[in-house]
Amino acid sequence: MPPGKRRILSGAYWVSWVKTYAPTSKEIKDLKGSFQTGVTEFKRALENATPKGAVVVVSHTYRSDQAAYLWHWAWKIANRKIQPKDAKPYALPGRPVPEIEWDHGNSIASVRAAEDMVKGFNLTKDSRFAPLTTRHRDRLAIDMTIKWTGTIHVRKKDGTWVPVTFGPVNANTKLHEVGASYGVKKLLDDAPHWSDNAT
Amino acid sequence: MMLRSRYMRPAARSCLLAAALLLGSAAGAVSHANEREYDSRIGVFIECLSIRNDALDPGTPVTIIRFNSEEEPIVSGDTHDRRFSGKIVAKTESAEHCLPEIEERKLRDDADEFTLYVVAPVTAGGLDSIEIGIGIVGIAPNDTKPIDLDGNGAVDTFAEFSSLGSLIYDVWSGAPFWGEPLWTGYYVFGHGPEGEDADCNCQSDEAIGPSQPPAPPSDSAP
Repeated sequence: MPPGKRRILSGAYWVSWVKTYAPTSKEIKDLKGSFQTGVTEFKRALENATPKGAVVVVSHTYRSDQAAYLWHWAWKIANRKIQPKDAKPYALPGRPVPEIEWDHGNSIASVRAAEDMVKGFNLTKDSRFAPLTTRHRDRLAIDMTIKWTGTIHVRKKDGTWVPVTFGPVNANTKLHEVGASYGVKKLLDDAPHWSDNAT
Repeated sequence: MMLRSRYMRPAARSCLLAAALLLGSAAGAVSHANEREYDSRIGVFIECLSIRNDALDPGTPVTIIRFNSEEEPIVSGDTHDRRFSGKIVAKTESAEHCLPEIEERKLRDDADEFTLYVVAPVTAGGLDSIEIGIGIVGIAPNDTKPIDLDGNGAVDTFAEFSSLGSLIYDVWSGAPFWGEPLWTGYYVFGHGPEGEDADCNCQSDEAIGPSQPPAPPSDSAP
């Protein structure tokens, strides 16, 4: 921390800060190159499936470095995974730098402030996945839910049609096969997450 | 007139945000009361309206502010091309009518607080373009005035934020990110495995305490 700069204590302020200065995205156009093309085509194939297209709701594509950092440490502190004083300073490349002070001087205040951030970002219990390293930061991952009823036929990249029956997405190998044909690969233990390399 | 904050000059944004922080703490008690009031008027729409109100009559007007994938995440209440009119048809629990929201309910601890409604467009096909949106009850279809739910004279702003495992929707009284929003809603996706394996194994990790050193962060995950 350079001398003369004051950190701002953790808390709900940082939720607005991210929304203002380092917003995330659910827009496919914020993905990178050929992965963006593949996602666009995969989504279109799902929506044009027969006899009735799937509903595809995209929740997340690009994650700013600042959001990744703030989610990561807020979640860890709020869930008592680390001591507030042990949260590391921001060292990711994105700018502006979130000059945040995680340690309020006592554990209760620090944890409550982190809880406010977790609440403001609506980080769910499974946000234990809130990682610093993620393909979302590289614009090479997308979170989306895909819903339909019964069995639909979806067109693969090579033009063939595959019958896909609705069920838990992590185990739906037919759906994974269609996605992979477009270069969109399923991470098998994270329901909405697809990326260029299945990580 | 709403201005997208990310386009503001950094110095101006800093001032706005600092002011927002101060205003937020001052207005907190009031806005929490408002939040409950608006919960019965505003919900999230994906094929159906999900709202904390189980007493909406058929024919009740619903205005939907659209937030499709490739659209700006901040919308002023005077933006007409993102505004659509519908009306309540009936309550539903049907996956046929609103599969995404039925599935979402499995992920939410507070799902019981929400009622799902089938919404019909005022004009045929009028809601077909909407992937997801904020639904506001009680604005007549022919009412084209800028939306000002709290009547403070400032046009409200509607915003979407992509978070980890959910989409966050805010309605702001005037400019966004000042103080606290009139209303906040979520559409939850949920990360991790599905089914029984989805429970967080949080207890196995270390807790705060001097005798338990922190484990290395899980820095490589989705």
